[in-house]
Amino acid sequence: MTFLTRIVRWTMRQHWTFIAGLLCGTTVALLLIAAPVISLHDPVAQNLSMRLQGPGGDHWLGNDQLGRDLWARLLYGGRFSVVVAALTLVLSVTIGTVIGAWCGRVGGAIDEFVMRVVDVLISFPEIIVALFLIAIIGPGFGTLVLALTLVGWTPFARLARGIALDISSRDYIAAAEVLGCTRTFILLRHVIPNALRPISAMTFLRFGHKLITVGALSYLGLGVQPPDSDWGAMLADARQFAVRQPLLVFAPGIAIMVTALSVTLMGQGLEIDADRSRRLRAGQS
Amino acid sequence: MISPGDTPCLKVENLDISIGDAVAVARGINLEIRRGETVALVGESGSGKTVTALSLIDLLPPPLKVTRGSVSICGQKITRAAPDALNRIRGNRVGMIFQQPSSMLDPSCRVGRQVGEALRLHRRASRGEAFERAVELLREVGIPEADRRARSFAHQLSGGMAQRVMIAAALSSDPDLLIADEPTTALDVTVQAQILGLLEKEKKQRTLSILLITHDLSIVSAMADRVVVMYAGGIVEEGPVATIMRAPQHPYTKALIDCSLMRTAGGGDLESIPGTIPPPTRSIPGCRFHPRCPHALARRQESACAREEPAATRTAAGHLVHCWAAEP
Repeated sequence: MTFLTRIVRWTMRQHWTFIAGLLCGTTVALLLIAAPVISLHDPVAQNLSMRLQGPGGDHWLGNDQLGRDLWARLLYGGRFSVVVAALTLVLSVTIGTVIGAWCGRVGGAIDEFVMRVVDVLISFPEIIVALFLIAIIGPGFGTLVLALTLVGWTPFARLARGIALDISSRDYIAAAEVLGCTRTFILLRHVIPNALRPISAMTFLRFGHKLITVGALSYLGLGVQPPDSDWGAMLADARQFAVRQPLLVFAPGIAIMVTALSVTLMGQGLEIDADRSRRLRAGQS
Repeated sequence: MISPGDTPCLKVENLDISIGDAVAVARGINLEIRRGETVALVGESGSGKTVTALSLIDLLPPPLKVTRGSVSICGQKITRAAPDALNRIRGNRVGMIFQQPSSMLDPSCRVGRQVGEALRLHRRASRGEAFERAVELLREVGIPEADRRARSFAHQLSGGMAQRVMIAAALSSDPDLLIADEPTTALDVTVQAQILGLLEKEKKQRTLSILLITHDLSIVSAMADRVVVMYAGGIVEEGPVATIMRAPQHPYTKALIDCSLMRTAGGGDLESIPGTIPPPTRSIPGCRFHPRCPHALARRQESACAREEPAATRTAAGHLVHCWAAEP
């Protein structure tokens, strides 16, 4: 059995919401990756004689207030939004899982301290912390990723800690200890692998949230800076022209929604499945 | 330098185990296992067998802890040892198998990789070497199509298979002592016999010492060289298996043997011991067994049984009994 057929088979076994989300999400991802091939125009090339023109000709979605091709801008802008959201998410998950699982295994004062820090960070709305950091360091791609990671790892740490506590009481951890496995080894080889499934479900669920936060910050002008732009910034720019050319607002809005929704669906599918297998396992023992 | 034949494989001296500081779960445990010897630790549920076994490799779950005494394996002290030293002994010098084999295997880890873990840790084997050796070990413990099985996950194995895998993992870095905590309790009778046979075979091949924890006396007479009987956290009798099965001295041992199915093979009712084992929170003055003991009851608890704990009496070579009625 080749690797590819194995992936296909695994996918077919998942819940239908996962498959629907996967198809939708892959389409978006492919479109964004293939942006240079499928967009006929330069996203920053202006053509003032064609400003606010509706769809037609080789401008598939029309042009914006500066006469730039909307379709091209949508594809290139999406690259920023999705990359920022995905990158912060990957960083948050990695940091959160390692810290959380480690705390759960070590326990004691360290655990107590880290978890209180998490509580404090979680109690601030994400966007406030991000605004605060951007005010200090200044806007930009790096700040955005840093700010969102700084607030983003906490829910994962909390989840990973809970799962680690649960896994610690399992017999196979005792069995590993009997074999003389070191703490780090058990953490990396037995605790984290068994925590991955619920954590990955949550990762997918958080992606939509991240994407919207990135959009919101860019909408406020605190995200990606011109001439680059992303979906949030596009929405902000299009605000004044919403009546004359509604598509300028709808297109990035729908793009955010579809992307967030498809990934959330994947997460939900995974979670339903994780629940189902957990119940099966509980029924066995 | 002491040759390995002289140092006992396992030596437990005056071990006390408590919950926190207050409640004693096991008291005054003395135990010695020589090289190549199989010792059975017998007793009802709640008599402290498993707790004793866990304390031997310092795996007591908190708040349980060792409050007095010491454990050494192959001359190396386990109690209060540093974590590094402990990790070198665990898996390397001593292996352990448990009652519920299928829950002892990591569900997200392939069997071969798990069996090879100890080798990677203790022998610094590479991933490939460890896996190859794991397949060999799986073949040795009688798993058909070992190279294919090594790539499967725990949930794809039956209970008997899982126990074989656990045995392979426990034996992977060639330990001197194997602690088997009710290794066959969760298995079918036919599989039980196979697993016991496998343990017997491995023991001969490797001159392995085994501490067999069980409540099944038929297993004891088939496997063990020596028997240690525990009741309510203390040892009540110990001696060679033949002596104890034929002529038990302690009333509790007698009752246990009378209760076993072996005695009723010819028909007749199954015996039982009236009453239950006391919880560790209740301290019993005198002999722990006296409230349930037919012998003490006959003496209406006026005797020493209710007042003072009996010391060990040697009734025959290597046969120790903790009972006031025992005569040397």
